[in-house]
Amino acid sequence: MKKWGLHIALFSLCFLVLDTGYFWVLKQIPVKQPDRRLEKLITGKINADILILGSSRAAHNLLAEELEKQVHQSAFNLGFRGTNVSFHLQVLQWYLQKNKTPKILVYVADVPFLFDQEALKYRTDLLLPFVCYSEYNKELIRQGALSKLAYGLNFAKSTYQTAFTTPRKTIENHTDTRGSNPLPVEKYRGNGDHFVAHKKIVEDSKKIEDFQQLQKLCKKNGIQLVVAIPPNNEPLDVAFVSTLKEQCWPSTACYTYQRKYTTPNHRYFYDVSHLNQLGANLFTQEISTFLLLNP
Amino acid sequence: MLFNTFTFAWFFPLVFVLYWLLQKKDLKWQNGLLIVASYYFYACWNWKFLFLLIFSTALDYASGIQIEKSTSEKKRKFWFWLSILINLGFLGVFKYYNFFVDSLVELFASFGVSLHLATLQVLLPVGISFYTFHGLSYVIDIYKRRIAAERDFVVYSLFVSYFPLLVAGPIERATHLLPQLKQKRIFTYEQGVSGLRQILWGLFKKIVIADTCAQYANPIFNNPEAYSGSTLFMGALFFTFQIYGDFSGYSDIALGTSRLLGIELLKNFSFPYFSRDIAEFWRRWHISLSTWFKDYVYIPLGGSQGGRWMQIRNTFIIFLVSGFWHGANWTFIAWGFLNALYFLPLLLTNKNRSHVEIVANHSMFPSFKEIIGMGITFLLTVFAWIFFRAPSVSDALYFIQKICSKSVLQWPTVRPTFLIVLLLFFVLVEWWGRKGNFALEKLWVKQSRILRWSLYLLLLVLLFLFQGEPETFIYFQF
Repeated sequence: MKKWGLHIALFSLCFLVLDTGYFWVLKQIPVKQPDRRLEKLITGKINADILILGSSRAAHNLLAEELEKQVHQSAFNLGFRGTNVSFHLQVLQWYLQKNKTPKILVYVADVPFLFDQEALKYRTDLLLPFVCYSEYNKELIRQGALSKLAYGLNFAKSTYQTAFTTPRKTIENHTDTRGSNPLPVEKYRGNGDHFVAHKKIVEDSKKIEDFQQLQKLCKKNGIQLVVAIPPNNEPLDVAFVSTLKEQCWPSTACYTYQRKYTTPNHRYFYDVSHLNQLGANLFTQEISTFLLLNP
Repeated sequence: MLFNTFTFAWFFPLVFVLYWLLQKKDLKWQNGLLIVASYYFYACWNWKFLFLLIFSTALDYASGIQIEKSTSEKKRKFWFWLSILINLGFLGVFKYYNFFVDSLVELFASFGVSLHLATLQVLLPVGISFYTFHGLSYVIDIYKRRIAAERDFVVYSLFVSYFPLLVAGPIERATHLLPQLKQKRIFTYEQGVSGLRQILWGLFKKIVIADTCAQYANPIFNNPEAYSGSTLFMGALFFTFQIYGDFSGYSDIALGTSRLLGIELLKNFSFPYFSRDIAEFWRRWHISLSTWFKDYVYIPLGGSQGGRWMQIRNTFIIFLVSGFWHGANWTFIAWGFLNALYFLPLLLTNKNRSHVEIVANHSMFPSFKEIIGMGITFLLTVFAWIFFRAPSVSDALYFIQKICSKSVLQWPTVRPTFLIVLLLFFVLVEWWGRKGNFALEKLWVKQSRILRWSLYLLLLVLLFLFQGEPETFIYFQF
């Protein structure tokens, strides 16, 4: 038993040495990522006056570079495709821990899916490449995407996909210097797509609770919260807007797009739910005007 | 509790340390600890079903003693049938009741008669098929006067509920396990190393091979309409490796764990995908179940002693029952039937025992004839697994129909290069290690420690890199 125990200890030591060395590999993984906003966020390199937060509607429909030019304040877009409000709340918490508190948070509502049970996810896959940062590692363990062994072992912190594959730059993960992801003006891709209008029955209480928490966090930190409702290539979902307004605090400003974007030739849209760069420019102008008029 | 979870990673070392600390005390202490650990292991899944396990244990324990004690044949029969019927009754209610009700309703519906029979909304107790078979073989052996009844309740309880084999086998025999539970266990260096090697290989099979294959096989089987015939074939291929990695991986972890506790369990797999015909495959796949059915169903039915028709009848019975044991669904029965059909030509030509030794036992490479034999047997099993995995027989037929269509000539849309490389590595290691009880048993044992440890480190690193959400073991549902 003694000899066996000794060999186990020696082998474990070898493994631990190898595991320690693996941290170097973990630190190389973010370098390969086309979208490194989460790294900027956690290393405190954003520090913008205006922060844009939300799902793809935020990433594609609001252009932080334009906003900066028009409002004369620094802006950064932290919109991530397919993410839900729980994810946004967590991003905001990290942002506040590591960066200067923003003056304004523009939270782009995902019409009509913001409170939907099925649509939008807590995307742990976005955090995985940045697992070398302990905050993300802990969150991945908390969300069950990594085992508890990842608290201590570097090998348990990554998967074969993040370790060995180099992601390609695509339309969806390419961001400009201020984090926005404008979509190209090309042939409209949303023919035949339609949304079902928002219904109370599909609402997720956890998502509603997290939206409340997001407002609470803004209030606590003195951040002016603007909830922006961007256009879809469809008539405005009145039921959704009404639900959203019910959930907004008096201190939360709610801005619904004013301009008519829907044209017979889909000029401003990339698909049914996202504006192209032309449309995003117009919507950014609308938000800029709103921010300038409501300082 | 799953073997591939963090919970087991602290549970087992704790049991291991306490177990060997108790070695100096009476054997009862060690057995007592194993009972407590086993019940805890089972209760982690659902503590309520622990009572069913304890009841089943107590029933078979008492029946065994009564059968042995009874002087009259009538009493012996009474206790024997009481135990058999209650055991099978539990299995029938929990596992097969809903299937029979649904099948009956469908049958009557096909004649235009609508039946309204209630189905049960109950969970299937994990491992019920395994521990019921433990109990059945024990009672049958006593009734047939092959063994004496066990008087020590702790020892008997441990025989039924020993945690390494409790939920997914191997299905042990009283003649093999009970004597080990009554004798002092010793720990040797070789045993310790071999146990760990088998656990490591089992975890590799489960986490790296089976769970990764599952990621590709599941979407294909869940939505076969969306894929070409060639991709469906890839899906079937991935499932073939998934089920082998999953179940033989579980068995390896169970055997290795038990070896670390000084108890040897029955071998359950012996490189089945290197079989040269289907008869050999069934001597190498889920060995403890195949031999159980042989000893307790096939031989009592007359085995191969009767004429040709009796042999054929018994073969079909054993394969159909084996299929049905796996699950209450027509797909499993179809799977069993298909395997019986595969077996038939070998039986009729008396070639069902042509290959007893492992392939290329005295050489490194197989002969051309052996390669052809292995290839055909492997393809036959791939097709049979489609029935095992598909949700219904019609789904399986659709799957096969599409594989046999022109679209099989298209380039598959799902072809993960890294997984194919991993599978090649896996097959290579299994081939190298095929002469041992498990692939790593003798592999590089005589080589330098650096080489061996490098291999262990590589496997360990792969385990971590491929770990995701722990997937449950397929055989838990049986």
